[in-house]
Amino acid sequence: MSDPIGGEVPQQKADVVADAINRLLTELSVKCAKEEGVRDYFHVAVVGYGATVGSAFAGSLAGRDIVPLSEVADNPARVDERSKKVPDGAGGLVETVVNFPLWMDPVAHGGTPMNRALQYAESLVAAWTERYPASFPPIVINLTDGESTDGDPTTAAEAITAHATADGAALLFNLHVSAAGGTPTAFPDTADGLPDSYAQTLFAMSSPLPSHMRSYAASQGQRVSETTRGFVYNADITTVVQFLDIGTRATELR
Amino acid sequence: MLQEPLTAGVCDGATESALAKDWARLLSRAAAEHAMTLPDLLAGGTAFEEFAAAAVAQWDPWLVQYTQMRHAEGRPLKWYEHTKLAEGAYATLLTVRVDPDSDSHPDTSEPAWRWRAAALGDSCLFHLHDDRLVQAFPVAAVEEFGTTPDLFGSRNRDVALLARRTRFTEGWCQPGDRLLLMTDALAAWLLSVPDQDDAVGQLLEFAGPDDLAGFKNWLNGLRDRRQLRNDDVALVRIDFEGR
Repeated sequence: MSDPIGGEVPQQKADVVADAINRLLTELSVKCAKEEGVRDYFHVAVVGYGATVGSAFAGSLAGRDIVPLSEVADNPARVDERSKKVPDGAGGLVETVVNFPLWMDPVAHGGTPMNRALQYAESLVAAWTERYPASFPPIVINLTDGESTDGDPTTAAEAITAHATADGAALLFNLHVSAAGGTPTAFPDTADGLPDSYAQTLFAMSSPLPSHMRSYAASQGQRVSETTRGFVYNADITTVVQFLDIGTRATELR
Repeated sequence: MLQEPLTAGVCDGATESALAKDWARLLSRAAAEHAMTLPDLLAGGTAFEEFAAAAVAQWDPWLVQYTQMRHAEGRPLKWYEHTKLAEGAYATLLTVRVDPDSDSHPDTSEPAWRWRAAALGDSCLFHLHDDRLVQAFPVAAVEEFGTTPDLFGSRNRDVALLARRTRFTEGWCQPGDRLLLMTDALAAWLLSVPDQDDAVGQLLEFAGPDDLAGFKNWLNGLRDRRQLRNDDVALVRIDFEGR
């Protein structure tokens, strides 16, 4: 994962992946934040794979597997503060401090043992579905540069989605970060146009979006069909957080 | 007996926003107070816009006070609260004003009351006559409920848009009529049951503060039987008797 990816500012692929995970955890925490704390609508594990496979949390969560979201939100490894100008609602801009919490740092060494990583995730999913058979099915989000170095990951992927709760099968979504170029793509319904066989393999491994996620995506103006899959190529995966339903959505009138 | 106007309201905070409960409380109070002094806001237009601007203007000062209080208590806002509160808080709005009518309703010699209501989002008002549902506002069918109702944002300064998206209606009540104001889960139940008269009868079993425990048990029964979505419930009941 140490190749730079294309674009105007070459960014290490490992940076892109770490950044995406930190933003996912930020969005998820903020989505579930209430006064006095974050609600445990979700429990989260972050599995890193490179030289080793295992928990990728840094800081006080290091070594932990599945962590309640409230603990995740309260324990980033560090919080960077940056100034930013934001609209003041009256046509002007106001300077404000924006917090950037970080739970993991980029790791770019070793191979990409995707099989072992998916098997690790599968063991977490198996234990969860057995313990909470009535919960929403677990969602595994695999962020990768696609080049599995320990063989074809398809079977390991199928093993994850073979687990289910009363609400449906566990979901596997994939974010493929690639230097191959091509058009950034989010939630496509066909592999046509994906630039290489890695992207196509990852697309084929990805779960179709469940109907409630499809209807939300459609309501946000995304083109979706019954074959739309949870796959993103060189694009923003954090929109997936918006697909998660926890109750009445907080949206401004449009 | 009531000889003066009466205003009441229900605002339902959105799950996804922080401090939604506080914003809902502030908004419902602001709406009831404004409807008392500025009844025309229940017809929309500039009077409603004035109220909307006044309600939004109350939020930031309230938030400053809240932030200071948290700080003083040694519990400063967390990073995610800062991020979340910058987005504002969201709630539905339902407010009603009832005026004793000095002249009786044209169709009858009985005393009558005129009511006017404004609604943004899916908190609902039901008008009962002879304990049967004669009007549901603003949602008329259970299919219209979802997770993305229109909401009044605590930072929304586009008061013209707020006024445009708010629905307004009015009606007349006679002695024996009732108005029920309620949040979406209970309203959806009432609009979805096969036997609505029976459902109204069950609901009317609960009339006062002493009935709270029974009301909670009844709601939990509906939830257990999967007839009521697991969500907060608020209910306001206005009964019209003689004058």
